Amino acid sequence: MSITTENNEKMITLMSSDGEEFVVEEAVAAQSQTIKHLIEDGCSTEGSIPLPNVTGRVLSEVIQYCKKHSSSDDKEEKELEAWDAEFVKAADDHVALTDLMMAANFLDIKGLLDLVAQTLANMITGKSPEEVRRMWNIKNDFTPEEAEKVRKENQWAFE
Amino acid sequence: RTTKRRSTIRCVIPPLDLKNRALHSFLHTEIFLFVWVGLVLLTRPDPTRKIFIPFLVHYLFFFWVLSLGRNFKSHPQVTTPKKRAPDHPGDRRRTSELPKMTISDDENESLALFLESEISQVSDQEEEKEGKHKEEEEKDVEEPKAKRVRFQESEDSKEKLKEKLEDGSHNSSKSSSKNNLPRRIDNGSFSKIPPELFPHILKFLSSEDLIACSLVCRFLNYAASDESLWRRLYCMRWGLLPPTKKLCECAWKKLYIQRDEEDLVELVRNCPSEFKEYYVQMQAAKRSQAPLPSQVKDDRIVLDKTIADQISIWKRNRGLTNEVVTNHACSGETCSFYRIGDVFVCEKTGNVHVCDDTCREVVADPSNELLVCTISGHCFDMVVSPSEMESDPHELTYWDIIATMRKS
Repeated sequence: MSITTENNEKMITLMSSDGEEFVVEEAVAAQSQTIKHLIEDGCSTEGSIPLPNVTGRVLSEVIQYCKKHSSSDDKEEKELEAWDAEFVKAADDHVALTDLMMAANFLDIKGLLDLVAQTLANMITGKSPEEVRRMWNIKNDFTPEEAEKVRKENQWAFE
Repeated sequence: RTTKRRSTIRCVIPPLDLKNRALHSFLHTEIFLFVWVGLVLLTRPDPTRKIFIPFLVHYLFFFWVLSLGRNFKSHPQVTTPKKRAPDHPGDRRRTSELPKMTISDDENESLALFLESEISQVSDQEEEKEGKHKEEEEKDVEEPKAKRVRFQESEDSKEKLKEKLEDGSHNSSKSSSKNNLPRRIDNGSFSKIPPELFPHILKFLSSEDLIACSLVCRFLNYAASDESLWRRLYCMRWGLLPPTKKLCECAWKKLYIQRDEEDLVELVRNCPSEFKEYYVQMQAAKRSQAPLPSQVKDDRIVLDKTIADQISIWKRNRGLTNEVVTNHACSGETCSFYRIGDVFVCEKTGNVHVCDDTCREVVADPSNELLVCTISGHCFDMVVSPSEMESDPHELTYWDIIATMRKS
């Protein structure tokens, strides 16, 4: 379904996995390489574009990001960075971040993927293995022998 | 072999397994006959005594051979002994046949060797049986443990094989994540993240943090040992070395840890002892240096000097600065590239992408199940041997093919 608004901008309808519909400008949707390809291949002309891997909650966040990044040009880099920082802060628990990351990956939005990956990486920085395990609820699946081997392989001098 | 023989000669006690019953009875017979011959020799009058001298020689020889142990097994003479008892039902019969033979010292020798070979064969067989038996017993007792160990071993070797495959192949996380053993994290919120996304997260980490990740679980150990991550960190800290053999054979992670240690040792050696601790701390701080966002994006960090120079000359000529443009995603569809070998330089921004075996920009093309680099358009098969990837000067990239398809 393509609607043309007053300022002659083509509109695209995106449908999330839970049936929520979002109407966005083409330039915003085209931030996603995946959607861009779909539009180029003519998928958007009839009905909305279904995004089976992305829930409405996540998609609204993604669209928020895309809107901001399509509207601001290169000069406002500093401001954009600050906005990005606020944006990931809003989704501060890591469940939301992983959802966002997977959506960014599926929709192929490089900037967002890097932003979320950087945020996740920052959460790991400076943590001990035990802290990382606790934070992400990861099970230690090394056998004692393996643990010893891995410890040896990953040892700094003078530690 | 000769030194071995000498050493066994020095050792008087023959290394024979006396638990072996057949050998035991055989030795008993031999010893009994030896004593008997000896007694006869001593009691009989002169003329008959001479007949028994060869026997004595034979037995002396026999014991000498025994003292050599089983090292004689493949002696050439053993295979074709001159006088050979056609299958021997009992040792007693064979030894009782001995007096009828015409005996010379030479024959004695070959006979002795033959006997020895018989013993060694028997004992070897017995040993084998016993060994098997023991093994079975052990198996029965420790089967669960043994099985587990073996299972792990096979897993380990699988892993190694895959790692090798991965090293050899020109594709990155996507294919390896499909094949590799620790495929993903089983529980927790990280379990939802597809394995191919981990390099994106881990590329922002310092060597220190990668090491910490390695110790978390199997999957993260695999993911955080990724070659391209460590290559980037290595080149950030030390620059690219000329590709020596050592560099090619070793994993970048190992090289990094080794070089770090070498540096530290060097530093500690040259510093006054009272400052030693500070020096070590200073050095260790270098491990926590994470790549900057621009360094993550720009591959120039891993280039060798000559190519880096070529790129800066080219950029200067086009009026581009050395600053990395961060809010620009290169793609084969939107940008055009200046190419030097494996290196692709975006003509608009000057961003550099190195499209070689550690290329991280690949996406899977669902139409033909190939991995395609989004920048260079290089197609990577899911598993490609390095030889197949030898670049052809006239090769068509993915984007060329798409372009021709669109035109037609």
